[in-house]
Parts: sequence; structure tokens; C-alpha cells
Amino acid sequence: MSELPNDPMDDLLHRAHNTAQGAPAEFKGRLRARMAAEAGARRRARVMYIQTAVAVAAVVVIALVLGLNWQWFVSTRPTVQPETAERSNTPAPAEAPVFNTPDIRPEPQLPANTPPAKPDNSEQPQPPEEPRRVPEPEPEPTPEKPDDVVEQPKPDDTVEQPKPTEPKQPEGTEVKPEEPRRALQLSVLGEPKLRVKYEGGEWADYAGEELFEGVQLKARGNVDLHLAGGGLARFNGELQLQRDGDALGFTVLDDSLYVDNLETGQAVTVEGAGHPATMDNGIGVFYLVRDDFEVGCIAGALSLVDVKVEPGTTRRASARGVGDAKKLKADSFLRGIPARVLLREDFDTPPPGGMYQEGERLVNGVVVQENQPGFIAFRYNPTLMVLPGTVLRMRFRTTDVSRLELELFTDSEITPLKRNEQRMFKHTWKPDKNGEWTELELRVEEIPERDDPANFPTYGTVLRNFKLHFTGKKLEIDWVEFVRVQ
Amino acid sequence: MPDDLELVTRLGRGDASALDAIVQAHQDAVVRFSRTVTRDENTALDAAQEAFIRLWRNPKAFNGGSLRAWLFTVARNVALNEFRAGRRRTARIERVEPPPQPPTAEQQTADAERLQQVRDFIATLPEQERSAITLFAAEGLSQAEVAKVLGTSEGAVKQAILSARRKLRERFGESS
Repeated sequence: MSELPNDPMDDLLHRAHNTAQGAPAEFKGRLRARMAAEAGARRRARVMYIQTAVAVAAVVVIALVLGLNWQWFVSTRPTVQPETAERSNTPAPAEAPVFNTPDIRPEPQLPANTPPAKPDNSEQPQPPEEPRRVPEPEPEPTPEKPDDVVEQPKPDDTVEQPKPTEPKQPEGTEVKPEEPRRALQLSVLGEPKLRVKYEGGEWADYAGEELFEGVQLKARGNVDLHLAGGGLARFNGELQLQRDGDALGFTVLDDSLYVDNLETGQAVTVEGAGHPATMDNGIGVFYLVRDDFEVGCIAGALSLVDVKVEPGTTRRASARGVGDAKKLKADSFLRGIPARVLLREDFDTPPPGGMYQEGERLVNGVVVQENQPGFIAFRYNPTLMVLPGTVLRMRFRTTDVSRLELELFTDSEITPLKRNEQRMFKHTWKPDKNGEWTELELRVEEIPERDDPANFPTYGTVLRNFKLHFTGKKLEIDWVEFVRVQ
Repeated sequence: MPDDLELVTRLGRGDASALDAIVQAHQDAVVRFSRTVTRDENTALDAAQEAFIRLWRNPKAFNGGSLRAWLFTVARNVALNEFRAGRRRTARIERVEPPPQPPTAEQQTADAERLQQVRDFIATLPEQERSAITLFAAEGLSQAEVAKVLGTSEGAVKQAILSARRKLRERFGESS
């Protein structure tokens, strides 16, 4: 985008802004004081963090040791089972200390003589005793630590339950690579009452920050969004937004959504109560009605689940499927939707498509023409497609002008006789103010064609240039814009 | 004179003098811009201070480009957050007024009065317009940089600037 040229107003503002008082003398001092206070708090936090880390590490080590012991126990246990089965005939408790060698049969009286093991006692290291160490054939390794052996009496309380394979890492120590979040190509218009939340986060007031996929938005009142390619959306209630391939994905979690992506090239998917809708190029309204999802098409193409929703109609998807089409009704929710700017020319610089160069001058963002009779004309670049509700707005001033004639030319069109033909739509009027700036608003779809006044521009008509003739002394135009209004 | 990136790198290594240099270089601009956004002296100072504090806490958050634009972005976000919070507790805060200025000899002159009128007029514009025109015309940021600070598109910035210019021209154009 070309940089705006300098303007006398910029110099005035520059002087006004830069002669204003800067930071007060105490600013730096207050900043230092705050930094000092924060540095102290950070030091304390760091000490606490280290202490916590040490404690967590200790817990991890203990868990590992216990886990390994359990694994070792489990791996050796099958050789002991026959023994314990035999021992179960004895009055001794089944959980009595178990030795991991098959040669402990000579000492069955040991468990019987020993009191039932208590968890506390079992934790204590037992002195090595003669009978326990049976050194004879030793087909399997014997435990080296007495603790390992006496852990067994209370496996369910002291030692871990049957999940000894991997020691669990304490929370917070696991380092997960953060997935890059993709920014959503939209911006919030104005300063609405809006709250935002990401998964796992808390609701927070929206402060103009960039929004990323997965964001949930909750609005009080209507919130308008500017979409990529010049599209618009409005919602009330709660939404979640994501990137759905190349499309922008909306999930309506509560209430209503309006989307206009007509001719923007940005496809949209909308889901409500689990029912998907897609709109590649259209204007639609979407309502969550309990567990149903109602979708209305204002213009363009829209489908709900697999059913097409025709312009001017609405359909409702429920657990029973998609219902019949009904007539789309006016809704106060759509009142006051901002205009979509389709083209704007401010005349700060020559228009990208060029002017006709018939003596007009650009003066401080205003195009001035004093030739008599004369006109001001410029070409659009790129061309402009008429959308439903396209309005031409213009700010102009006439001096001693008796008649104005607006001409909108189409791009060349191939007629059935294969001729290149340009159509022209024309509106003529007499200005009612002399020497005063005036704003004019005209619905483009109501400007008749010169050669056939029964014809009007319709959705899809491509316009190529603008021409305003005048009869009189002087014509000035400050700006011209084409907008789409709902 | 070290550039901003070098100063921020030094700040990241714990060089306190780097922050001093950064504050010295940008404090006036950041405070003035915060004032433009908030139209309230205390909120503006808090927002500007927060911008520097955030840089000090995490210098890596700045990864090149214009440091001043980065500070503007943070200050504006903080200011708008505060503004929105303030709207919920309107009972506590009165209508914001332009900061009181100590009368100076310069202010006695007609020119100074006119510049004050311009400042007052700018304060009446919508936030997007006054921020855009201030950053572009007074702080010399490019359209792209302004768009980045405001979190919007260059086209929207252009429109905001042109709209602000037009209003300024309507109000002050005849006598300029």
C-alpha cells in the first residue's frame, strides 16, 4: 500500500503533539522504585522456586527407587507363588515375609513365629538373620537389601499399586514443545464489551490484542468483526474461532452470528450444536436455538449440513435432520451493521486507475475542476463489483452549478452478438446547496441504465469508472466511496 | 550511540544502564502517546511505565524493528485494558480531562493556544483515529508500523488517518 503523502494538517498536529509536556521529572524515579520492588520479589520467588524444584526432585528420586523395587519384586514373584500357596495352609498370614529363593522351605516356622507384620515395622530395615540367608543353590538372585524383602507385607499401601512400569513425572516438570498458534485474519471493530479466553485459560477483557485460533469470544451486545478480504461479521453471545483449512471457522456457542464474505475470497464454515454449515461466498445469519441450528441466507451460496439454503430463506437443522425452507424474516440483530467499504477514493493522491486529466487538480485531498462545462472522472483499479445493498457516497461542493450528472460505466461486456460493449448508468440532479460541502448517498441498484431505464445494476455488475459532469462554475469532490450496507 | 536492538540485548544481559538509556530516549514519546490514547494523566503514566517494565522483565519479547513502536503497542494495550476496566468502575473515575499543564510563557501566545486547541480537538476523535494520526503524523511511524501498533490493517490505518485529517481540516483548515 502506498504511503500517504504529507498534509498540512500533519505538520500542525506534529507541532501540537510535540510541544505537549513529555514524561514528568518523577517518571524515571517511579519506574526505578517499581523495578527495585519487583526485583526483590523476583529474588524471593527464585529462592522459592529452587526450594520447590529440590523438593520435586527428591520426590522423583524416591518414586523412582520405589518403582524399581516394585518392578524387581514383580519380576521375581512367580517363583515364590507356589511357596506362598503352601504357606497359606499354615496359620501364618499370607502376607508374611517372603523370600525370593525356592530354598526357603526349611524355615516354615519363621512366619508363624513372627507377629503379623505391621506396615511401620516393615519399613524398618531388618537385621540380616541366619535363616533368611539361604546360600545354597541360589538359582535366582537373592535380595541384597533386607528392606526389599520386607516391603511385601503391605504392597497396597506402601508400595505402588499395579502401575510400576514408569515413574510418573511430577506436574510442571514435563516440557512440552508449545505448538505455534496461528493468528486469525480478522479485527474487532470499535471498543465493544468483549471477553476472550483460550483453552485452559481464564476469561479476560479484550484489549485490542491479536486473536489466535481457538479463541473463545463472549460478547455483551453486538460485536462487529472485520474479516480478511473486506468481509464483515457480527455476533452476539459466544463464539469460538478457528482456522478450518483455508476457511475461517466459527462455532456458535450461544445466540447469533451474521457473516458477509460475499466476493471476499475468504470461505467460512459455521457450526452450531454439532451441525455444520459452509459459505464460500455469501451473506448468512446463524442462530443457535437450544439444540437446533437455524441458518438463513441473505445472498450468495450457503449450505447447511448437505442441504442448500437459498437466498431469502432459512432452514433449521435438528436431531431429526434439516427442515424445510422458510422465508427469511427481518431481525433487529442486523440493525446498524457497519458498512463494508468496497472502494474509497480520497484524492490525496491520484487514483490507482488514473484520472481522465481534463484539467482537474488535486489540492489538499480535494479534486477541483473549473473547466466549463466540465467533469471529474476516474477509473477504478481494480474494478468494482456491485453487491446487494451497494451504496455510492460522495462529499462534494459546487459553486454556481445548476446541474450534476453522475455516470457509472460498466467494464466491457461481451454481448450475445459478441461485441465489446460498455453500459452506463446515469443519475441527474440539481444541487440544492451552493458553496457548501454536501454528502450524497445513492443506492447503486436504483440508478437506471441510460439506454434502457428499465435496467439497473445488479449483483455481479462490474463497474469500471466514475464520471460526474457539471454545468456551472466549479466542482470539488473530497471523497467518493462505494459501500455495502445491510 | 548504540541502537535500540543493541540496548535491548544489553538489557537482556542484565545491564541496567541500557534500560536507563532506553527510558531516556523514549519516555517522552511513550508518555505523550499514552496520553493521546487514555486522555488521562495517571492512566497514561501507568501505561507508559508498564511498557518499560515489561521490556525490562522480558527483553526477548522485543525482537527487532522499531523499539518505540513496540513500546507504543504495549502502552496502548495496557491503556485500553485499563480503560475498559475503568468503564466497569465508572463511579470511581470521573470524566477524563486533558492533563493539567503548568502555565508557561509560551502558552500565553496565540500559537500555543491554537496548538492546545489542536490537542483538545484530537482528544475528541475516536481512539483509532487519534492514535493513528498521532503515530503517523507526530511520531513519524510508517503506515505499516501504525497498523502493527494498532493491530489492524494498513487500509484501516489509511482510512483512520484520512478521516482524522479531514476533521482537522474542517476544524482548523480555514485558518491554517
